[in-house]
Parts: sequence; C-alpha cells; structure tokens
Amino acid sequence: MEIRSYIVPFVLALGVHAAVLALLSTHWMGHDEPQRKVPRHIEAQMIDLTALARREAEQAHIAEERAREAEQAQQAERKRQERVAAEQRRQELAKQQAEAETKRKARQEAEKKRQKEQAAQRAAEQKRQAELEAKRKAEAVERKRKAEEQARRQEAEVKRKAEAAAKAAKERERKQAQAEAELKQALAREQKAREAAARQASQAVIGDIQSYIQAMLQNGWRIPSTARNGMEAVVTIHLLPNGEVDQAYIHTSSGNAAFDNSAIQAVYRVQRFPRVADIDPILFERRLRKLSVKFRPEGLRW
Amino acid sequence: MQVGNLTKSVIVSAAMIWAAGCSTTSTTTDAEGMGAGAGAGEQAGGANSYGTSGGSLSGGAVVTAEDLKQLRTVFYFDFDQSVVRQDGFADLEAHARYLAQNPSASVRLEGHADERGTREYNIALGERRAQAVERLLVVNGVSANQVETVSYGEEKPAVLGHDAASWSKNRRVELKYLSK
Amino acid sequence: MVIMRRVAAGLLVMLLSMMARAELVVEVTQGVEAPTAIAVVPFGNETGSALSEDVAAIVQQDLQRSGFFQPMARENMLGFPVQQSELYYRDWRIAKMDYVVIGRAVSVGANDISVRFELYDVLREQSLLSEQVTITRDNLRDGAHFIADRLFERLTGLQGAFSTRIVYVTAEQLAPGKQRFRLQLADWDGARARTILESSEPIMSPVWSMDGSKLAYVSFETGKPAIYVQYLATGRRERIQSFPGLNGAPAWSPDGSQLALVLSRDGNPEIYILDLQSRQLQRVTRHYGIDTEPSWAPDGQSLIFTSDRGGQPQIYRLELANRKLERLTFEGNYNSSGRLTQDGRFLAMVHRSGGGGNGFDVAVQDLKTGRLDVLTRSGMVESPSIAPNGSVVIYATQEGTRGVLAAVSLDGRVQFRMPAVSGDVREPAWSPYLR
Repeated sequence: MEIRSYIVPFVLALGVHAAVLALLSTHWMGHDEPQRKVPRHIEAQMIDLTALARREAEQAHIAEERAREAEQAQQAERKRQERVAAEQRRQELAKQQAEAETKRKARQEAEKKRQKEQAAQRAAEQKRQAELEAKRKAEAVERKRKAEEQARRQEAEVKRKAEAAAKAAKERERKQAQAEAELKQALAREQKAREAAARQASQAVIGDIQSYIQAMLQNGWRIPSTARNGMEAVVTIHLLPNGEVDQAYIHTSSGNAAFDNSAIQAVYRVQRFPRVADIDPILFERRLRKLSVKFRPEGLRW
Repeated sequence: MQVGNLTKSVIVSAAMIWAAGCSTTSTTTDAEGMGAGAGAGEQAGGANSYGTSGGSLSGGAVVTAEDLKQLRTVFYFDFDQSVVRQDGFADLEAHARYLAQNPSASVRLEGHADERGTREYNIALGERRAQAVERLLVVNGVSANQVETVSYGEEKPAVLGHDAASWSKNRRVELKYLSK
Repeated sequence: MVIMRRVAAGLLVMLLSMMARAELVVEVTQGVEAPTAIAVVPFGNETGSALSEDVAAIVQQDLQRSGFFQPMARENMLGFPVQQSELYYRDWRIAKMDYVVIGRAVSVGANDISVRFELYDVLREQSLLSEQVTITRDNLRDGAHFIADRLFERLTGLQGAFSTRIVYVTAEQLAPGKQRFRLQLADWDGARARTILESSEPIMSPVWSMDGSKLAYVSFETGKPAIYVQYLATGRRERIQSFPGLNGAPAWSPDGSQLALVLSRDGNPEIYILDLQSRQLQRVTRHYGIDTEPSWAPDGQSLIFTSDRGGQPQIYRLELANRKLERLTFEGNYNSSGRLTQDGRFLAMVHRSGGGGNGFDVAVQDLKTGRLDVLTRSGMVESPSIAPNGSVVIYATQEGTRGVLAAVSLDGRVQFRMPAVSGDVREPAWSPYLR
C-alpha cells in the first residue's frame, strides 16, 4: 500500500465530513431563532377632543354675540319690543322650547342613533373583532403551522441534505473501496491467474516430485514388525537444494518407538532425492525446503 | 451356543449313549461284519490285543479264565469319537459276564488317542473312550468298583507311525485285568 | 477510513495467507515389510584367552530368531571394527545395513569378563547405545542374551525375551513298550538343556508360574495322572491333591494363588479352579462335552479353554466374575490349545482348517479384528507357547518320525528349528520374564 493512494480519499473524506458538519451547524442555528410572538390587535374608535372643544368655544362666542345684539335690540326696542319681546320671548321660548325639544329630540335621536350606531358599531366592531380575532387566531395557527412546517421542512431539508451528503460520502467511500477492492481483486485475480498458470506448471512439477518422493520413501521404508494398521507418524524433512536430506525428525509420534524409528530411517535411507535438484529454486524454497511425510501403513496384517 | 443346537446335541448324544448301552443287551453281533474297523482290529495283534473270536462265546454261558484268553482286550474307535464300535460288543459282554461272575476280579481300562490333535484334548478323549467301555461293562452287570479308568491320551501309542493305519491302531481302549 | 483500513488489512491477510500455503505433505502408506537389517560384528577379545562362547554369534542369532531382524552374514562383512574409531558408516550403508553392533571383551579379575557393546545407527550416523556387562566366563551365554535384550529393547521398544527359558518333555523309546520321559529346562534358544525330572511313565503339560519360580505338570509315575508342583531353585516337588480319573492341564493364575485344572471326577472332563492356599476346589464348566486346556487371560479375569460342546473342538472364553461364556474361534473345524499374548490381543492356537485332510498348524487370531492367520505349514503342530513379549510362538512339531521344537515369529515372518535334542520332543512351555 502506498501512502499516495490514501491522499485523495483522505481529502475527499475530510470534505465530506466538513460539509456534514456545516449542514448540521446551520440546522442548529435555525432552531435558536426565537419564535416571533404575534401581538393582539385591539382596535378602539378615536374621539377628536380638540374639535369638540373648538365647536363649544365657537358656540359660546356666537351665543355672546347674539346676547349682545339682543341687548342692543332690547335697548332700542325694549318697549316695543317688550311685548314683542314678550311675544317673542314667548314665541322664542316656544320656539326655543320647540327647538330645544327638537334639538333634544334630535339630540335624543342623534344620541339614539349614535347609540344605535354605536351599538351597531360596537357589534360590528365586536364582530369585526371576533372575526379579526378568529382570523388572527387562524392566521396565528397558520403562521405557526407554516413556521413549524417551514422549520420541519428546513429541518428535513437539512437532514436530507446531511443525509444526502453522508450518503454521497459513503457512496463515494464505498465506490472508492469497491474500486480499490476490485482493483485488488483484479490484481489478485491476475496474480492468481499468473500463479495458477505458474502453479499449473509448478503443480505438475510438485505433483510429480510429490509422487517421486513418495515412491522413493516407500522403497526405503522398512515397516517394522511392531507396526500395526492405524499407526501414524509424521516426519518433517529439511531438504537441501541439491535434494539431499539435511535433517529429518519426528513431528508427530506414532507412540511406537520402532515405528517412529523406521520412518526416520526411511528418510535417511533414501538420503538424497536427486530430482529435487532440478526444481526451480523459488519453487524449491516455497514448497520443498521443508516438507512433511506422513507414514501410515495400509494393508498390514494387523 | 444356541439353545436349539445344545438341545439337539444333548438328544443325539443321549441317544448314542443309550444305543451303545442297549445294543449290548441285544443278541451277539457278528464282529466280522463291521468292515474297516474290524480289519484294523485284526492287524492290531502285535500289541496287547488278541485275535477276534467273539462267536464262540455267545449266550449266557459261564466265562472261564481260560475263555478270557480268547477275548479281545483292545477296542478301537473312530477319529475324535468315543463311541464303542459294534465289533467290540460281543467280547466286551463276555468280559462283563466274567467280571460279574467273579466279583473279586477287576479291570483297568486304559484310554488312548492317536497323535492328531492336542495332547490335552486327546487325554480327555482317551478318558471318554475308557468311560464308554466302562459304561458298557457296568450295564452288563459289572460293579463300578471292579473297574478303573485311566487315559494316556497320545502318550503311549501302540504303533509308532504317522499314517492313517498307525493312527487307527492307536485310537483304542485297552482292557487289563489287575492281579489281586 | 477505519473501514478502508480494515478492508485493506483483510486483503493483506488474505494475500499473506495465500502466499503461506500449506506445506507439502507426502503420504507413505506402503513399505517393505522386511526385518531390520543389522550387522553384529564379531566382538573383540582383549581378555588374553579364548572365550568359550562366541558372544556376538549368540546375540546375532537371538535377534534373528525374534523375527524382527535380518542380521548380516559375517562372511559378507568388509571389516570387523571393535570400537567406534574403526567404524565407517559409509561401508555399512553400502552393505545396506541400518544398524551396526560392535563390542569387545576385557578381563576384570580372575574369572570375570566385561563386555562393552555399542549400537550405531548407520543411516543417521549416530550412536544409539553404549553399555557394558560384567559376567563370569562360564556364563557368557547369559551375557549374550542380556546384550540381545538391551539391543532389542532399544530398537523395538519391546522388552527382550532372550533371557527367558523354556521347559519341554522328551520321550525316548528304550524298548517296545518301554519309554523314558524327561522334563527338560533350557535357554529360550534350546541351549544349556538340563533334565529336571525323569520317569518311565508319561510326563505332561508343564507350565510356568507367573513369577517363574516353579512349574506345574502332570506325571503318571504312580500309574495314574497327578498334578505336581516343582520348585526350580531347589528341585523340591509336591503332589497336589489328585482325584479319580483325569487330573490334567494345570494352569497358574497370574497371581499364582490358583491353579486351573481339568478333572473328570464328576464323570466328564471339566475345568476346575483350585485355590492353592485353602485347597478349595471350584468347578467352572458344566457340559457333557470335553472341556480342557484352560489358560488364564493375562488379567486373570477370564479363562480360555477348549471345548467340543459345539460338535468339534473350539476355543471359548469364560468370564470368571459372571460365568459369561463366549466362543472365540469360528474358522476351521479344530481349534485348541489357545494361548493369549500378554496384551490379551492375540490368540495363538493349534488350528485345522476345514475340508479335512489338512493338518494342524499354528494360527494366530487377532481378537480385535477377528482375523486369523495360519503361521506354519507343518501339519503336525502341538502345544504353542508364546514368548512373554509376544514376539515368537514356540511349538512342537514332527520332523520325520521325531517330535522337535520349532518357533515362528507372531507375524509369521521367521520360522526356525530349535537345536536337535535326543528323543521325541514335545510340549514346550515358555517362561515369563525371569528378572
């Protein structure tokens, strides 16, 4: 494995991690934003106090002037006017009375109307208020829903994005790994194929040499009288490249001294496997320098 | 061993023993009629045995000491068998009559076998042969304490040969009167 | 990252494991079933005077007769080294020897000599054994057998049985109807025989006690068979209680406390066990057929014996604890004189295969597999007796009109005749280990 082959995936992985981190952090901030509290809207009727005062002042002024004019007329025509005045007064009074009455009535009417209007207005206002309230409420709910939805959407979006990012990263990783594995497999396959080819060649050689060694040993093995079917001794043999036995020793004993002895002796009796010298050195190192021989008699009387 | 076989063996053996005992009570048999066995008996004359002449001593006649000399004292057997052959019945009956008439006389029955088979088995075989003869004597009126048996197995062959003729002469029971 | 590294690591392991393939294993299932080649070089004599025995020759013969070895003939030897410095492995390798034994005798004191003996592995070119034994001049054979035992043990892992003894019976025909019987004791190879009992009446069935100190046998010296026990060291003998009829086939229990024997006192040959201390007699077989030739299994738990209860003699085993009876032999129509090896695995016997006309031969049956092998082609064998190490069976057979002793290795590879003795020889019995 070379370090270089790590760099690209490393950087990629780092990027993916960063992206994921970023997405996650915005998502958290969105949550920090305080939910805006929608205020209650109380809408009252405005009364213009200055205009009212001005009208009263005007009325007072007009009344003063009228009083003064009346004084003058009185002074002049007092006598004549006394009667007339009285008349007038009476008339005036009546008129005034009627006027007042009318006025009162009008005022009453107006008041009534006003009151009616006011009630209607109030009802309307109430209705409006209720409607408004309902609307407001609905709006609030809607807003809240919307906000929540929005938040959810946002959240989902963030999550989706994060997931997508992670998925993408993972996918990338997987693909990378897969690619790498495939590459390795391909390499291994290639190696295997190469090996198989070599092995096929060497296997033939090994198979050959295996049966050659077997034949040599079977020739050299003097099965002792104490041997019994089922006995088994494993001898490890170290060979030299020229085919000579370097050493042989019992790896797994049969439990019978004479039997073990005979196995070792078989190897030393052969002493040299001349054809091993012709084996490719690499193959020799890999397969033949050290080998195991299992001595397991078959078809003995006992 | 299976019970069936055992039972069969018991029955067969019992029948044989019974037959061996019974036939002695029947009439005298012609020893010469028995073929190969009788022939072997005749040839055995060289050892302790005497020539066959069973016919002269038939019936319930008194057997004298002189008569005894005319009787066979060696009785032969088939291989691995302990059944007294019929050719010996007449002489054995005569011996039995003599012993019954002379309670002070006693005999020793020596059982032998040929060399084939193992010694221990053969000594058992010789013992059974001697016992078979003893039984014949006893059923003919001889008291058991007038008879003793011994088996030599293959230890004392009558003939030192390793062929069928020698073997047939060695499978035997010798009847010997004991001196008082 | 981690995953990647893991994948990479996995791949690496895979690669490595692919490279480190299983090492080459060769299986050898056939060989030459031949005795081991060994050269026993004549021993050097530095005692200053001639020795009465050729020690190396005795050693060589012992090894050969075990069946395990094929010694080299002296005339083929290129040289007679007597010490390691004179030993050239190459020469012996060319002569196809696996082992070489050399030795030399030196005087120690007036009557003793010391024999140094050395065993070399020709193929591995190393010393396997180097010892010495001191013996008196007139016991050289003991020394030789001892050396053979040591070599045998070193090479086979089995205890050598060359220092054991045999007894056997001889019969001489003095005149028609007049015989002389002798009970003889000899080295395992038949040498140094001496008479320990003589009689004009048959002597039969000698058998060793397991400690090798005494014999039991049957003697007809009184005109009737009786069982005697004779102590080898003193020659003292005692007759054990005898019964009417048959008294025969004694066999010592492994612990020496009991004697199995055959009596016909109940009318029929049956096997009994006599307790030698209490003199108590116990009948163990009960059959109208012949039951005889008892022999103890080495563990003392069972008796094997011959019986014709099946119509013909076959060998049976009787478990003493529960009286369970088992027939052991099924091949052939006559199997008797069964003897077990010390490991209890093999049964040696006299065997006659079916079909009639065939003779009696030594056969050995593997009780584990049931396999039966006929070891001889003599036709007239009797009384097989197994060496305590199970390597060789000694038996009696006919040579011309005489009985002789012969032996065969348990695997049937080697057969040999024991040295000729005067008279008709029979009933050999092999001693246990004597030391």
